[in-house]
Amino acid sequence: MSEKDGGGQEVSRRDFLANAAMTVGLVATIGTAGVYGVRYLVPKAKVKKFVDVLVTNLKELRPGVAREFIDASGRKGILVNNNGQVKAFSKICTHLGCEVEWHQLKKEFYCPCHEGFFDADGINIKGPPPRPLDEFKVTVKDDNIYVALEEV
Amino acid sequence: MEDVKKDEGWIDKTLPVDWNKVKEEAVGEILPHHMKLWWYCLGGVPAVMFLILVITGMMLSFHYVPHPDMAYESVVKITTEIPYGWWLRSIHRWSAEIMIVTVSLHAIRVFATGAYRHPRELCWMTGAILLLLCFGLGFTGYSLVYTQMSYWAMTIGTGIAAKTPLIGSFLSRFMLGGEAIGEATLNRFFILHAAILPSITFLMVFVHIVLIRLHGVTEHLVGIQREVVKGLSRGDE
Ligand code: HEM
Ligand code: FES
Repeated sequence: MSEKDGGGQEVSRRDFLANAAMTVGLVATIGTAGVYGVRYLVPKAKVKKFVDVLVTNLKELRPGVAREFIDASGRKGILVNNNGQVKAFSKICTHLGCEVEWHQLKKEFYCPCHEGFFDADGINIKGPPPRPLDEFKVTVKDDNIYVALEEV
Repeated sequence: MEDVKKDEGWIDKTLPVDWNKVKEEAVGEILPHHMKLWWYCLGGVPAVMFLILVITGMMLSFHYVPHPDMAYESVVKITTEIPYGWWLRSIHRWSAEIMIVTVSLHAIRVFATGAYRHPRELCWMTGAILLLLCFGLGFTGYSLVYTQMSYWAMTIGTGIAAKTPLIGSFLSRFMLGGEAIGEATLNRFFILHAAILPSITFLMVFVHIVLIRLHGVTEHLVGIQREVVKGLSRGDE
């Protein structure tokens, strides 16, 4: 738009197209960066959703008995009836991630990898595991046992 | 609003700036023809990269934790967990690489074409300081990730500094904040990388560009000859 173009009044097709392309490009770039930037600075906390899933019932899971289950993303858990009190834990050992087993007589969870022990409440009592087993919420309704599992 | 002149709105009254003149100053400079050749314009690339680095750097520091126990973890979190963290981190990383490469090419071009000569000594000197600042930014930034590679880069970098005659041990202790790499070192590198070096760089870029605008770029015969031979001129003088 020099003086020769008519004092900045007329805009040639070529200039118009160039300016339009430039504007679209800039708006797209800065817009994208802006949206990404805000999402980055204000991250939404991932809201975990749980659903109660029917796993078994009290006729099957008699006192002292344990039963394995798998959640929707393939992680293994274990249901235990410890003298009428039903609890569910993750089978993943909190030490280095082996699978724990329920010992019916000793009423303990045992991890064979490095001799780790957890009691019936999932508390780490012996060996290298640094913290209790992860626990699931259990609901017993009309003798049916539901475990709250994460939705995927 | 009756006393406001026809073409003078609220903004013009409260901010009495002649925007046409500003525009003319900013983008209306007449340049010699050789500036159409890209390698004469390499100085602008590190300037743009620096701007991008400042913005993305500020964003990264919202989630980065400059502590030996947390640094690497926070970088992993930025890359894998925080939305678009990987995107910002990649832009910061690649802009840094491009800045170092182009600033070096720019210095080589200025040297090769003799554009450093009188009266542009100050351009050259601020430029030399900028080159060192860029390397400093690259070195401190690389160390912040706190991987094995970062650790050994810090070890080697401070080791080289320690070999400086006379002030070597002072320099290395200043960089390390002690005798060995630790909490104090990472803290120092972070403050240098995110606050001190960028501020000085910003100032230097400003002075560098003001000096260039005051002098105008060097006229080179190469450009003119090429233009005559190849008919590159648009003939709009
Ligand atoms: C962050 C780093 C730097 C930025 C942003 C920067 C920016 C610029 C810009 C925009 C120009 C205009 C001409 C051109 O693009 O070639 C320029 C010219 C110049 N730069 Fe740099 N520069 C930097 C580093 C350096 C370095 C490392 C040196 C040399 C040691 C240097 C020496 C010069 C000189 C002497 C000129 C004048 C060239 C001429 O008259 O043709 N600059 N700089
Ligand atoms: S993995 Fe279970 S004790 Fe080490």
